[in-house]
Amino acid sequence: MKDYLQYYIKSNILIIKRKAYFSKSFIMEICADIINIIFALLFYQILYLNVGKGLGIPISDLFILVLSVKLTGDLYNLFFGAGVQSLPYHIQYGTLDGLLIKPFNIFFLMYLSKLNWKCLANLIIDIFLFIILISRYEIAVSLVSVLSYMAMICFTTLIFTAFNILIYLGSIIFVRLDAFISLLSSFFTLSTFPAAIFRNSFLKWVFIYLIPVIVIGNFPLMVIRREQKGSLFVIALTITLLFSLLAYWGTMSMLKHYKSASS
Amino acid sequence: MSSYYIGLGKQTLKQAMVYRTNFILSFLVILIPLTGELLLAKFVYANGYQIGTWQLNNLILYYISATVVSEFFAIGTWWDIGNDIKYGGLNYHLIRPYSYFWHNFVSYYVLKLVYIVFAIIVAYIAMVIFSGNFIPNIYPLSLLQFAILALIAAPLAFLITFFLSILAFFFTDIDFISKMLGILLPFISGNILPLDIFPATIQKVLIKLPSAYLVYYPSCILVGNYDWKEFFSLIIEVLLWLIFFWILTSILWFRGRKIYEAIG
Repeated sequence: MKDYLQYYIKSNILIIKRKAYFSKSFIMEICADIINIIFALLFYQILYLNVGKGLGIPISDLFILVLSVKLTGDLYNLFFGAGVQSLPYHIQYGTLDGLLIKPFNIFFLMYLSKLNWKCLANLIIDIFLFIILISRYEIAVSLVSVLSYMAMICFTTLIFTAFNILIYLGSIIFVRLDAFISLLSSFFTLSTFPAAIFRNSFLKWVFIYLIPVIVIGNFPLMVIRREQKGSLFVIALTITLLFSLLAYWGTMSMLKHYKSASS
Repeated sequence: MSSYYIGLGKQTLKQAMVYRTNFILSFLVILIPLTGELLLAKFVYANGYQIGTWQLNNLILYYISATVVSEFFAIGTWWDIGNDIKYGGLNYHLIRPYSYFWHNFVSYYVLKLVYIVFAIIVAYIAMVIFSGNFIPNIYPLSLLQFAILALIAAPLAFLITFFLSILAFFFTDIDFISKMLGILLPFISGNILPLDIFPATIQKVLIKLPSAYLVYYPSCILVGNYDWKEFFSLIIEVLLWLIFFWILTSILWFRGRKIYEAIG
């Protein structure tokens, strides 16, 4: 455990040194993310000005929905994103060899060992936006609802990570799957929409259990709005376990087929 | 000289056809967020509300048109031009007897044409699913107006792209411009929401920006919202933007060539 911690700290200090070197681009990227989230919030603000209650839920809930999706995305990118997204590169250019010979768990090396420091700044922005939102719309929060919300965000982050691992594992079969990855990832843009718009029950089922789009944004919202029943956490836990196990099994199976050096 | 551009067009077409699956998948990526917007719009109308002055069928047609049009008249930085300047590949083009601008214009729009063919097929399917109509409710007059506008909007879109790409003469990294435009454009061009439902002050600014003439107005024309008088004043405004960017790009190209060191 000590070795793992040392490796984790050392490798991520090196990453932050590199980031500091390219500080201009680092700041620009953060600015782009801020503009992105402002526009996402403006989208609902403008719609709300036009149709008011026609959106079905209060504007504050829509903002929580958008921020929850951003929070999940930022947590994924902070802890797992860099590792998961480098998987096709490792397979295409054979650099996975370098990881396989290291005396650490391969799952840790591939997905968990790299931090994306930019997302740490994003997390601070997210917290700041949440504080503004809660005070502006006088949303009643208690310690229990905050803790439940954070637990649900942990679930959604794990689900999102496992889903992405499963997508990127496709690179063992297809050499170029950029467009396919973009296609599957683009489904998660739907997570910023309220679950009520998916009126077809089959569509709803698909977007909860197969491509867990509804889980990512709507489940945390339901928790903070205290609409949660025990069953919501049971569903979230089941999906988390299912996708995590699939991702682990998929990775281990993929390693058996890995042929090394630009395979 | 025209035979060179025709040959270049044919060659680009062949290359583009190799990546046809990629084109379809790329367009599906754009279609998924659109699905969310359309489902949301249908939900609002089902609750008895209306977005601005838009009827649901018109709004669906607007959204689908805007998605296709925003791909055809896309603006951003073009990788080929930026790299030519950054890595010295521009030398190869400068010593040849053709215009670098028109060379890239042909390659750019041939690729776009292939993409748009697949985009129209996918968009048509989306329209049938969401509106239930097999024949889109587009008037022949609207198609004619759209074709005329497209003749000006296409060079304008490419001029802006060319202008942004040759900023590589002055900056080492222009990727950021592309990223920022990727965030700003869908919103300010009317791709995500029609510009006429924005608050009045923001609307006044946005409808005069060149991005509106590339997405919002062409989509509105297809939905059938314009008489000829309005249309001609619109054409004059687009032409003014075209002239403005032509002058700006010429100045930038001239200055950029002066400082270009022809090394990688």
